[in-house]
Amino acid sequence: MSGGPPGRRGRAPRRLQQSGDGCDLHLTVDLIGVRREAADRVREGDDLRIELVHEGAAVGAICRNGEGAVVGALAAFPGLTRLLDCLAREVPFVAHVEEVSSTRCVVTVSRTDP
Amino acid sequence: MIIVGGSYREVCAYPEWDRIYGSGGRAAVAVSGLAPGSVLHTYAYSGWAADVRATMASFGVRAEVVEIEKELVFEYYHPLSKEPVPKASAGLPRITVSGEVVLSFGMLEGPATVVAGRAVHDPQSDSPEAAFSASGSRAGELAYVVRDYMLAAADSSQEAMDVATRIMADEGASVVVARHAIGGASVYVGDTKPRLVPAYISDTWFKIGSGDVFCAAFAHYWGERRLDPVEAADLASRSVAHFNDGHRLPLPAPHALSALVPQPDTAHGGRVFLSGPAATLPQRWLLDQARWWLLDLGSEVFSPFHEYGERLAASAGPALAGLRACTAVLALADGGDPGTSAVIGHARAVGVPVVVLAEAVAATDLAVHAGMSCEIARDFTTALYRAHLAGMR
Repeated sequence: MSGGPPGRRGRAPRRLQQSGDGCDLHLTVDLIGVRREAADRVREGDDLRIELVHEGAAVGAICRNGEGAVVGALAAFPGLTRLLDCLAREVPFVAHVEEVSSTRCVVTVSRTDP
Repeated sequence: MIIVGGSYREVCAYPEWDRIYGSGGRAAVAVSGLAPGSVLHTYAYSGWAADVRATMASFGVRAEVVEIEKELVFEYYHPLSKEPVPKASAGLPRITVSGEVVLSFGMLEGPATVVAGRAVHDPQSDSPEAAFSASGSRAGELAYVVRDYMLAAADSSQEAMDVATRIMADEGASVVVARHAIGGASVYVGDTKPRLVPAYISDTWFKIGSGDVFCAAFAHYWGERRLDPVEAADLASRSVAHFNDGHRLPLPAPHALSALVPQPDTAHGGRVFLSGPAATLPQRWLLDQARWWLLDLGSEVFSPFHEYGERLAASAGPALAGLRACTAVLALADGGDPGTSAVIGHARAVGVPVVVLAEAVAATDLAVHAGMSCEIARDFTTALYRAHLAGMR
């Protein structure tokens, strides 16, 4: 079969290449542990704030809606550690909402500084 | 709990999905809230092993990772269509674990050796090498979780019960749980008749990894909480329904699963009228896929295209008569096929439930379907699932 492996749609939403500081990330993922109450107040096209959270020795990344409520977590994708490292260096990122329902929230993560 | 299982990259085209889970990773995240302090033992590609560790750490799971040089990727067009299983390199170091409660999965990289007080094992295949005992594993009590087709004996005179009993004898298992394709399970304990655990309804059906989630929940409730195996399997089935609705992890506590509704308890899967255009290769391919997977789920299928072929244009009358004998319609609506629109209208007029697959149809164009109380599914797998369920009601 031509056209590449079946799982790939042919577009390239994930960009993990190094550019300068290594934080030129651009990826589309769905959030883990979506919280229904917070997701219900999110619309397609919204921008979610991405924050680092520390729990003991563990570090994770979460997305908050405009009211500050946690919508879900960013995890389980290639490039997570690079994103965490960039967030730790205070490189700003935003999660643009592509699809949202009470149980699912798909976001595109990209940096916001010039 | 200790979890032993693979960490693999999973890439799906529709719905779009590109994640690092695998059975081990998914099960560990699934029980992270229910079983704090869990540990995952896994193999992982060196290119994203750090991402596995970071993911597990963010859910409070410690990851013991054996890094490998080959990336193992499962590719899907849609969640039911797993393409050929990737092959791991040979000669990798074996993982050995011991603990009070261990959940182990068969892995592409080779079996782990487990020593446990209570173990739950999902071999993931019917290969002899994937059997619990084949790697020298042993447990005080063992539950074996398999897909129901794995209890179909090569010898047709044997029943599933016989195969389950043989697994108990060969592997020293006290419980065998056979998961059903659409959810739910049959639980075999000793030589008594299997107890059926229902599947529970979810709004959408993601499917990738639902077996991993079942095993994770069952291992927690049977292994750690020491519930009766039927009760544990019921909570596992409810957990799967929760998960299916958008790949929701980690799993919630049991009280959050109490409102779930069981799927209809019928011996047959209903009869689904399949309608969609077939003018192009992609349209024909989708019709064929829908027919195949509905049959696989257990529905009967009446598809005028497959029934009448070249005579379809002259067979509108018999096709509509066939519709009245069906218990649900699956309409493949992308492309605005007039024939399918007519079928939808006719079905609703005679009270037959309709599920519309609309992956790329504007919401405004679906208003008429919604107005006729059709169910709208935005992905193929969910459309199949909803049509199958609608047919059973």
